[in-house]
Amino acid sequence: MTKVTGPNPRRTRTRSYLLKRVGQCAAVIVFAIGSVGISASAQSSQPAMKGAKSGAETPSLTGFWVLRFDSLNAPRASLLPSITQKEIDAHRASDMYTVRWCQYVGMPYMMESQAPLDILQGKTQIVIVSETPSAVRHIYTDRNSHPDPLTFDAVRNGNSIAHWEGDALIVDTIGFSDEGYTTLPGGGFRTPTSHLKERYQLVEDGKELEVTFTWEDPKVFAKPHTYAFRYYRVPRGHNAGEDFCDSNDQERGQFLTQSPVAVK
Amino acid sequence: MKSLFIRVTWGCAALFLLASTLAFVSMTRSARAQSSQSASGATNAQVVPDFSGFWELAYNSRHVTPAQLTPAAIARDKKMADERAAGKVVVYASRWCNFLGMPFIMGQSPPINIVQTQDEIGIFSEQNSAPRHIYLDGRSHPDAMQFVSTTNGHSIGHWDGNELVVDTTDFSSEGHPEIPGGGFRGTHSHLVERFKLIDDQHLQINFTWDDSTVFVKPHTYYFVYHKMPPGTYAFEDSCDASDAVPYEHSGGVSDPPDQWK
Repeated sequence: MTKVTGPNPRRTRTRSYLLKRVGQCAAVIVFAIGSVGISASAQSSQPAMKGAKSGAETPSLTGFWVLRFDSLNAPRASLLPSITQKEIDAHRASDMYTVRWCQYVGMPYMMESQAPLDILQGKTQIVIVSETPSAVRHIYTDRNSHPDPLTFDAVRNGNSIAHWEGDALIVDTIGFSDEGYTTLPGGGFRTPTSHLKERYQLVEDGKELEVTFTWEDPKVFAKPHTYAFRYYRVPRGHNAGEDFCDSNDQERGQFLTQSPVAVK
Repeated sequence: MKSLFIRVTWGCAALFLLASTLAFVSMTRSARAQSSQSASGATNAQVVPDFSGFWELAYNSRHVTPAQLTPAAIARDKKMADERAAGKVVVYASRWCNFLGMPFIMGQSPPINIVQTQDEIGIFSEQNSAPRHIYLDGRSHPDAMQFVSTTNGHSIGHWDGNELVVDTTDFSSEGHPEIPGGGFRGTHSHLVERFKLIDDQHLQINFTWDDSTVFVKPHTYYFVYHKMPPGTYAFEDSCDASDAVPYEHSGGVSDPPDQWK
């Protein structure tokens, strides 16, 4: 029997075979992982449309949202002692005048709409649409300062800018006018010196949207006034309506301005 | 050694199977996404033109030809012209701060603001009007029994290549119904629009109105909008119907009744 010298052929074959197999395995794994990665990357880089804020980056508030009977948590506001009942009544009268004449109601009343709000989260702004007669809210997410008050005409919805803090959208609004429906939930009213901070956060797995409002106004509140609304997501397929308002409708005007007749 | 060989072989086989499965699932998902895009033309994954931003018309933006009107529509237009000549407030909606609606809000000097999401495009005018909601999620127009007609109608859109095709029905006759070139919006009106980016600074919208009670044949015109710079912000064009002065100043009548002042 001849003694084999040098490297053991079987051992050599086995070693090279093992190396070959390991190499094949590695290649297949690299290919598979690469495919998964490329696919995932391709999908994540194809958002709803070009330039849209991807849902993966921030929560999507887009959709229709409606208030329910249990949606409002509005504690009583701490008003300055200088605020008189006469002043509060004057604001309420102005609110009714706004409704009577089909004027834009503005903030914050438009957020209390009984019809669903439509939120569209675009590339550089988030828009909140109410069916109540009102200008839409433009919440700009592409800028970090408000316009110069010297060039900005105060409006009922003010000027809103926003940024994300984690999963929460923080909105900062100034530049309000004193026109429209000014009374706030819990008491007090909007004025040109009002400053509103809001936090929008999805809760309950995105089925609900909680919005916390904090109003500051050195001419109205003794301390910041905070309340919260919880909106419920409306199922897909909802069609927005229009709250058409005709200020020349005399019968409607009588209903709104004359005292109701007592039921006997 | 034999045991090691068997273990490595089985290990490799298992890894190969796992990797193959992952690769197959990945490719299947990718293929499904691609076929879904081509089937509907407007899916989650489709990359489409972005119309977002503020757009305004220039002096030479409106390309309008006279509409061919039915005799009834001609008579209506003449009546309107006569009232205007007599100094009456012609547009009731403007006088009384009603929503103006389509197509008025698309043709005015203040910019329109377009916000685009996957399922909906909103168009917002600074004029006194409800916004336009253009649904892109594949829905149909609602049953007439379940939708109250509006000044902007009900709009659904789909992508035709790089163009957005918007179909609108369910209009009311309220608001400011006059159509550029002649004629007016009514409950029988049907509007088809094609939105197309000429380049990243210009948006063209072709409007085609169809209404057998108004037009002898479909009436088409187009506007070219210019994109406004980043940082543009929206104004509110508030309307006060209780203020009669502007209307008197412009030759109008119809003061609000005293009891409402």
